[in-house]
Amino acid sequence: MTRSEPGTLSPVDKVLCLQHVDVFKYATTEMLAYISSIASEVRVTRNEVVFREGDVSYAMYVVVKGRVRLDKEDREVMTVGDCQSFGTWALFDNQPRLMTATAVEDLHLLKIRSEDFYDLLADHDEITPAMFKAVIERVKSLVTD
Amino acid sequence: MSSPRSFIERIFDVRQREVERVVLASTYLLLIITSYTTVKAVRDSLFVTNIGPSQLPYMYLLIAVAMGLVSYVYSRLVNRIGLYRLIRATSLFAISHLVVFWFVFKSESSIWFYALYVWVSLFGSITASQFWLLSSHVFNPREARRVFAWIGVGGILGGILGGGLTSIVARWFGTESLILIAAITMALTLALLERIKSFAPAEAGIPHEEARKPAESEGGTVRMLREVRRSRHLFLMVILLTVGVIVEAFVDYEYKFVAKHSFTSKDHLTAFFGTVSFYIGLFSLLFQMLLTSRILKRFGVGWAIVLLPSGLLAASVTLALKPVLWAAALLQLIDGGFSYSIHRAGTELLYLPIPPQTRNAVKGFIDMFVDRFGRALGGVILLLLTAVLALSVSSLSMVACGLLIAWIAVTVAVKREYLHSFRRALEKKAIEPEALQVRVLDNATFKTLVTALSSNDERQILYAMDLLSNTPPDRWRQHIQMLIQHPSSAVRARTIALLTEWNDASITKEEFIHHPDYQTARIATASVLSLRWNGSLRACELLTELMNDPSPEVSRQAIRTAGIVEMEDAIPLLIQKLPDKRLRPEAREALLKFGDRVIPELVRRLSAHDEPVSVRIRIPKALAFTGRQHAADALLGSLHRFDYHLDFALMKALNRMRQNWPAIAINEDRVSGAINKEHEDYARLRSMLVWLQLNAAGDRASSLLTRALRERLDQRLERVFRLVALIYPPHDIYSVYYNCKVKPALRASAVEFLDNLLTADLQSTVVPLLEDSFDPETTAGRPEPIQFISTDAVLEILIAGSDPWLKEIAMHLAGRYAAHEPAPMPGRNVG
Repeated sequence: MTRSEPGTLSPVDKVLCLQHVDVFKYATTEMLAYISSIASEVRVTRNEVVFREGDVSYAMYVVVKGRVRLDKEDREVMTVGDCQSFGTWALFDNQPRLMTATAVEDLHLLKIRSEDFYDLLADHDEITPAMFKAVIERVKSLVTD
Repeated sequence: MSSPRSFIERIFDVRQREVERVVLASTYLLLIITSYTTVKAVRDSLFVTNIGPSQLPYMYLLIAVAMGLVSYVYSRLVNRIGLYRLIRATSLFAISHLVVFWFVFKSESSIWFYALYVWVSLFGSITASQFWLLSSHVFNPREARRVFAWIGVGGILGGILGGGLTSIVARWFGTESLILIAAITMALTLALLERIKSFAPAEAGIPHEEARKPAESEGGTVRMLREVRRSRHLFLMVILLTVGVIVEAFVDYEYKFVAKHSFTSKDHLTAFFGTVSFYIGLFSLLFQMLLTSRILKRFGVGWAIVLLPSGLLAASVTLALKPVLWAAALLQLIDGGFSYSIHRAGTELLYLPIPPQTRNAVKGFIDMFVDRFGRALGGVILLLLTAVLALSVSSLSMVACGLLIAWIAVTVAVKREYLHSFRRALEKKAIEPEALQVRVLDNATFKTLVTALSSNDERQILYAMDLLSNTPPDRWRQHIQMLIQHPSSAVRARTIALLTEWNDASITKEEFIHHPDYQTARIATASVLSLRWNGSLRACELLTELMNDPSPEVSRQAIRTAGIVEMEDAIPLLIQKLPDKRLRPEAREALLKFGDRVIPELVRRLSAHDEPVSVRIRIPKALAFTGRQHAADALLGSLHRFDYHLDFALMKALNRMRQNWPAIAINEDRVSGAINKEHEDYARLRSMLVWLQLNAAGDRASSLLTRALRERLDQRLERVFRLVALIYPPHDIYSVYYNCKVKPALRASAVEFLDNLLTADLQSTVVPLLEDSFDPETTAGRPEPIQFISTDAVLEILIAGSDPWLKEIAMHLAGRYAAHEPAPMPGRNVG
């Protein structure tokens, strides 16, 4: 069972983790600090499912510590480790999840809800171009690949 | 009684800050059209007198080919040497050529008449296109939508002036002397260009990396042709416009042929051409001002585009029956008069259903491709009919009648297709509301929009309401009231908002204020208060309660009302609403309604340290929108008194004021002081960064601090540029900053430009920052102005500073170092 818990990480600790997330690569450290303010900490025990394929997506996750396996139709696609993100597209649409995420080890995650994220963008519009740049780069790389 | 300023704004829809630009631009257009009209009459007269009208079809072909070649070379030139230099070069080129033509016509060598004929057509099309390109740099798209129609009037007046001048001068001083007048007129444009240039961003004048590809590539033409084939509406438009260009060639030929055989004197012929141009201009101006909008509203786009071919058909029949001078002149008058007025307005309307993202490309394609293709085709047909079949003017007119009947038939089909396309665009929400602002909506289009109000789709209705809100309320007031019964609360709220905006008393009716839906009833109550405001305590309390309503729709309407009735007691609450993004635009708008009275309270709340930062940070923008001098003074006076982010908000607000209200005076000494302060902060941050880099602790948090410091240095540089832009032309300064940041190849020229622009004092402050930021090698090894003795000292300064984010990281690091004592960190002061 995933459970939210009172934060143990300082804003700086969260930023140190968020700065490695691909979609935030063009955000300044200060923008990351704003994002960290809406990132809540979540603990997941080993073998628990974070979300299932087909679930409505409403948040993205960043692994602070631990490993997550991502499966599609019961086949492992990839494993995500420290300071990597998964379920990122949830920030941009709430389409059903494409994969199932399961904790391989006990997990310490940061969870960013898309609703909070949009509220944040409304208050800090300087973050939007940085996000756009990263997303466009990612879409371009998908097209080129 | 309204001030002259508001009179200009109300009648002409031209803002005060735009007046000088509009006057300059329309005068510029007036001069180039005067020059063109004059030299065109000379060209026509000299050509038909010395060479003869039988050669005209060859000229149509030659012009089409020459235009293709010139546009190919031209698009490369504009990218290579920049717009201003090209315009200046074109004007100088034109003036020198006109002088050369003036000399060589004394020799009577026939080659010069051919040369002049093609040259004038190219001159007309290049100078006009350069002018509109220049205007698109001088006015932003929103301004352009409002003022381009007024600038266009300059062109019509230029036609009248050029025609009148030609008519008089040719008779008194001879045809050739007009060439010199055209040259002088062009010389005047050079003086205006310098002034107009000062309003445009500097990057408009320098070569553009992205624009280095030719404007009209082969691939682009093929893509456009595919686009045209896919859309029936576009296909029919292309047919319509092509037939129009072919007929224009017929009209031109017949007119010049008959005129040539009616005058024996070259100068009288020139004067006649000038007179006709004069009347064409006058006819266009009067028709445009008095009838175009009425005809469009009453009869619609179909009538607007059928008037020209119908008029030409009647005139062609007359010319076929009676090939005399007045009939030919009538034909030309109808062609020119309608083309520059109602026909142009109707054709513009035809572009409305085309999605905005392809509209410009389609227009460009039609203007260039259709014009050249139609002109060449017209030339070929005329050659066939005159050189091979040797048809008389009467017979040619009969052929033209056939073409005109085909034109009218295509017009009917285009009109039908236009309405289909418009309905489809409406369903897809592909029409941008601003597009309706500049167009007079015809009846059929308008009815289509009104029908959409009865749709079952809430979003479709809201979209139709948005589009219609750009049209005069009286045209659709009666259709909106029924929407108060609509099941959608959003539609009901929008209905009430619109009726309130129009001061429509119907919102006081029972069905509004006692609407069964409680929220709708409260929105209506908030609206009614604006119509029946008595300022009583009860009314104030009710409005305050509604402003604090949990429903944002109710709160929004109450805020609007507070602004409309200027309830002074509401000012503190309105300021408090600024952080709420759902209510922010309305709260700001309402505050601005109080004018000067709101400024002291805004300034007080900005400076109040106990005020939440979320409120304070929104105040500078609100102050900027007042556009008042004392708001600017207060903003400038507050610089560097608050924290880092608030300072940035102040700078952005000042930049906005400088841009939108150029008349506002900025105290240069204060700005210089602020630049020096930023420079000092930059130097201190840089020294900290250098220290931390040289004494790297190697942990992730220290790296984060160095990264954050680097980002802050970049931001400090931006702030310096924002400040410099307060006392120098903002466009130039932003352009230098942009080029330094994004285009490494242009950095050297940007710095050079800045070197020449700034005073010596500022140069010594700003240029080294630029070099340090973008070209660190030049500053490497330079001694740091501030020497630190330890990392602790750096952290202490950051913790004591006003930058919350740097403070946060520094405190984090300090905490960690303290927890790990006594293990020494590299460069740490452990003693």
